[in-house]
Amino acid sequence: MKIEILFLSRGGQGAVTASRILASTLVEEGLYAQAIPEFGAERRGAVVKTYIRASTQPIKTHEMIKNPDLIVVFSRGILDIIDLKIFIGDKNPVFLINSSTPVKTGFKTFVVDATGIAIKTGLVVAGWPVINTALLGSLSKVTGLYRLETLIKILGVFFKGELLEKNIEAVKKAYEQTHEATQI
Amino acid sequence: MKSRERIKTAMIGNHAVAQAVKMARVKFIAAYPITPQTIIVERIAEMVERGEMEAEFVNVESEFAALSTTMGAAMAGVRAFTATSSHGLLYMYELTWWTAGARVPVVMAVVNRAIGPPWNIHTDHNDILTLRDSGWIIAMAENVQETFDMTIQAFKIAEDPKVMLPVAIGLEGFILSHTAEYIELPDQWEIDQFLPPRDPDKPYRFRLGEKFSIGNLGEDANHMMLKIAAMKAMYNAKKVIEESDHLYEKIIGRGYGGLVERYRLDDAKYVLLSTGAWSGTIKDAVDMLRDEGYSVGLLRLRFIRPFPTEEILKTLSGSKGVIVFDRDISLGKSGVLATEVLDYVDRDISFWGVVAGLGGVDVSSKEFASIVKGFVGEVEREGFTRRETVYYLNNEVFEI
Amino acid sequence: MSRKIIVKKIDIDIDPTKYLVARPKKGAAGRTGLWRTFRPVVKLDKCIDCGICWLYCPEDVIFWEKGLKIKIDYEYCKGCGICSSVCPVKAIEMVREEE
Repeated sequence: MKIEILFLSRGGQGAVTASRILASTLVEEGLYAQAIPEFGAERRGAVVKTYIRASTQPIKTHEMIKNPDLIVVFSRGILDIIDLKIFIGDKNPVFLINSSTPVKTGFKTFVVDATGIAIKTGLVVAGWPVINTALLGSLSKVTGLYRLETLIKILGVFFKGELLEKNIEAVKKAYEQTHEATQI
Repeated sequence: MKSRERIKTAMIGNHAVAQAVKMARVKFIAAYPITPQTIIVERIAEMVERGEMEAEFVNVESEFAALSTTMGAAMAGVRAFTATSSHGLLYMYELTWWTAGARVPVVMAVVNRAIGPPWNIHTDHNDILTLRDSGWIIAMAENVQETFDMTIQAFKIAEDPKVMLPVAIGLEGFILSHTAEYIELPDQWEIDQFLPPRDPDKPYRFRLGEKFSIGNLGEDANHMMLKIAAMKAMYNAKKVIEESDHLYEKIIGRGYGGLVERYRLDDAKYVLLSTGAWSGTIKDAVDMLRDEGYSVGLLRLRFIRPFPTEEILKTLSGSKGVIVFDRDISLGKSGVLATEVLDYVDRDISFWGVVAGLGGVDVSSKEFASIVKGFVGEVEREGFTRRETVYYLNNEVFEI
Repeated sequence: MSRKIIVKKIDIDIDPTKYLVARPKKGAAGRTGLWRTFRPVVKLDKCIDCGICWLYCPEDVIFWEKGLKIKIDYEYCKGCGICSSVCPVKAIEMVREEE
């Protein structure tokens, strides 16, 4: 088994941190994992691509992921500026999108209102809702690769105190609220 | 025998280096931050500040000062470390020759990054290869696990009385430095067993009350003798590298093969040759090609200096073709590895030197496989091919 | 007549410190006193025992002990004249060697 995931996010949305939490969680579940951030001239707001691999076998390659099994979109606005066709190859990807309403991608799509969850949980920093951990809760449901309790255990390595509590709450809510909303 | 219940986690390359420096019980670190190396410096500074590491961390004003200070500390007998990248390495360049020439066994991580212009923060190998003729031992890691293991082994190799040369470990910017990967960490007692404290008196030691200077003006013939002596130390290092790898495997349970790693080479008619992180990607290409019936294997150079001449000769003799992948270029000649390997490729063996991936341009396993198919295709079609330098960019192999 | 060259193999495990380490030794460069054209001559009656010449001497050939004034080792003094220049009371005169 080998799964390749692409995160599409804006600089400052915490996708790189999320990818590292995800890699640690996958290893905790007994899998091999790899999280490669693609940095450019990074700045807040620019589109950032992050690649994650999970496998039952050791991962040798260090190439970028061109045809992912799963694409996680951190804000739906990114879909307006990125041509999704470049990620479609032999495989049809599944989408997980941070959105309060259904989004038409032409592929199997899950949505979760991670922004709404972050606001309700009080996870807002400098005016930006922190959605990265919530999306990992959703991803647990969508992929079934790792358990929510494993993710929560790893969150404890990255966060402490009140911040940890809020992140756990967001992760649980996101897990519950993630639903399929495929529109072909 | 104590149990081998290891910590298994995902870790980025820069943290793996910092962790190895801590576990090697390094006593002195001076470094200046530069993307993509910065995290190494930050993490070590944090560990020293929190008291997790019993070491001196010195903030310096430049890379030149970083290596000068590290060299000075090592000359006073302690285990010392620094780290840099690309333009930072060039800024400390004069001192790299002094460190090697004065036989100071420091270890330096070089987080590979392209040299400008144009400014570029992504990987290629040209920065570390500027050390090629300086007397530094040059190692290149393939993944985060090896980055950790190599850093530990580097101290063992550098401090061996038969070697006493500095070691540079290349880990590639972003694709290793910032990439979180599966890693197994040994216990501290295992590292201590592999790497005892440094003998502070070797090769010499500055201490209070003793007057001597290093590298003073002397007879011209002494200069030449010192170079020949360093060459002998490089030859000695070959054996020490192999022995260290075996000992590491015995104690910690993971070995790589010494100067080179051989991947599916037995019976291979065509030999691929590379170094660094994209070797993992090339291994995937080898697997694909093998599945399609191609007789190929990979010889990965773990060390560029000392150069694994014997291993290369042994592997290439009897092969039908050799294809070298260079993520670097010696302008006016060819890829650096191609230049060096060509010496050992008989005139009747087919050869391509492929320059690719400069400035961080990504090359996928599928692309590697198609380049190899192009090479094998030309050999089968024409019976023989010899191209010292071809380039791969935007899905095309071309000459200029 | 040129010598016939035959390549030999030499066992060369050299201790690099032999070529790297330089230890200071009295007279390491020979009897440098012979280099002198001018000789510093101290007028001890004018000397105020301040030790500035001792401090400035680049060759470490001036011996000074407070209360006993100074003494110059002419075996190794190169006659550079720095002591004469820095003396605040002009107690050191540079005199031609032949005189």
